[in-house]
Amino acid sequence: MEFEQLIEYITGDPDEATTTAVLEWISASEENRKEFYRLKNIYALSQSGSRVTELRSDYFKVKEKLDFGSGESPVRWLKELLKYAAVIAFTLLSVYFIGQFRKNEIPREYVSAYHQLTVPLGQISEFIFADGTRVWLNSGTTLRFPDNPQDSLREVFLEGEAYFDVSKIKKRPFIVHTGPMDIRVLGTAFNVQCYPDMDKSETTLVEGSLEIQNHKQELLAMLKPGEQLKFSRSTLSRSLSRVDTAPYKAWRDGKLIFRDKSLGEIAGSLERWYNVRIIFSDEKIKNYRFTGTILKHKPFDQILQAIRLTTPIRYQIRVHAESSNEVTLYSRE
Amino acid sequence: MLDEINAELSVRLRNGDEKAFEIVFYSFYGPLVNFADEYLTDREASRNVVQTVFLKLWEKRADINKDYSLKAWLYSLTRNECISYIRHLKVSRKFAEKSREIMVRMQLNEEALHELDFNTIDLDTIEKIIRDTLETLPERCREVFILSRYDHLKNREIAGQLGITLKAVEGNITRALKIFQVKLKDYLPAGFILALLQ
Repeated sequence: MEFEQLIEYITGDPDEATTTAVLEWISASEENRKEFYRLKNIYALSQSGSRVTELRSDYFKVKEKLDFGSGESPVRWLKELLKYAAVIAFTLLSVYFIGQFRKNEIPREYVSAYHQLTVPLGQISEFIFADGTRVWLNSGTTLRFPDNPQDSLREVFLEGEAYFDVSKIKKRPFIVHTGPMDIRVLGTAFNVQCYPDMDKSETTLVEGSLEIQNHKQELLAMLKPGEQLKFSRSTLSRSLSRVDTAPYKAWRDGKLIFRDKSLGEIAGSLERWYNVRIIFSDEKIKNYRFTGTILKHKPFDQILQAIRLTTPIRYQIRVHAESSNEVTLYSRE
Repeated sequence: MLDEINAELSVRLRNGDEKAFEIVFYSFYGPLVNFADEYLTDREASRNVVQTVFLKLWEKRADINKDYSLKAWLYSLTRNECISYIRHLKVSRKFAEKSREIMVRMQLNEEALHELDFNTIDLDTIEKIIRDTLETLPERCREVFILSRYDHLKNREIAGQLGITLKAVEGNITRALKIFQVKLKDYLPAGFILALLQ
């Protein structure tokens, strides 16, 4: 029997010859039989997603049969819970249920009740608003929004890095407030990086259009797709340039793409992604430039190894139980 | 955080919080129905089975332990319900009318279910390994696998959508499963003994 036939039997509609061959193989030995079970189970567990069109009606079927008493108000505890909401990277349980509520137009209070999402270092999370707007939050990011959004305005407050895919709603602009400036859009996709410990903030437009204002609501810039505005907190200077938007989208999928970036520029991202502290014993090594892609699930060691192999930089790791590990980079020369 | 949500939901459920039940239902109903359907190959039966699972979850809510994964518990309940469904089916008239091929298949599926012990299987790790492994598959192979397993398209539909032959679709799924088979060796070992919960 061919392995292909076994798979065909498990996954599809096998023909008679395949069925016969597989059943013969299964009954040939206990090992074969166990291997079949294992493959069958792997196949069953590898499916995911929730394609059940009858979700809502089935819920009411179950609910009818249960003796629900009068529980406490859902809003308060969910609000408490979501205060700590730091949804673990890629594991989207909370997004999942909020997403489900949105699709099924279930209690709006869930979506408008909470007010803060915090993503710890080393993690990424994704979130869907009631209006269908999606936002991805990078490591070390906090997003706040009002308990009761006004009808005329959708607004959020961002510290850190987030990618927004905003649903277009006529006459209801979506505003992202960041430390130094406000970003105003209708329906569009863009990335914002504004960590409080960094002087420069970056707004990169992927599609649609977007306006940037200062706090006096004076227009600072209007961006076209592929344009990036850098804004300095300290000098209030700003610069507009054209960029490749790929790196600004890729982090959502766990990829960190660098195109000719200096180690000094990269360090901040690495610190947040891997929850480490990077110390340069020599300012000069900040200037080594890198181009490449880092996959988030790869261990940090591997990245250090890659740096070590391609540059004269050496490193030393100090492990701390209570706080972030420290990596000291120094030059061999 | 997930652990916190899990613990919080568990506590709420145990205290009879209807909203917690609702959240758990909306989060897990779909995946559990799809899981059951892999073994029962009967959509309506799978929905009934998982509805029973949720009725039991509510009935037995006093037994919920916040330190134990709610997800594992739900999968475990679903597994047991599937086994008992197949057992009933085997002695029913409906079953006797089915072809021998289907009877054998159901029998094998029941045995496969017996091998699944959610007390020892780490679902989250398995899911993570599958996700990570998907990343390493060749583009086409990954595409086919995602359409098949995540979007639940039939092989024929995938072939149509991607403009490739049915054989190529099957080939890619086989390829992916071969890799999973190796990667998951330690997590779904062949031949470990099961305590039946019946």
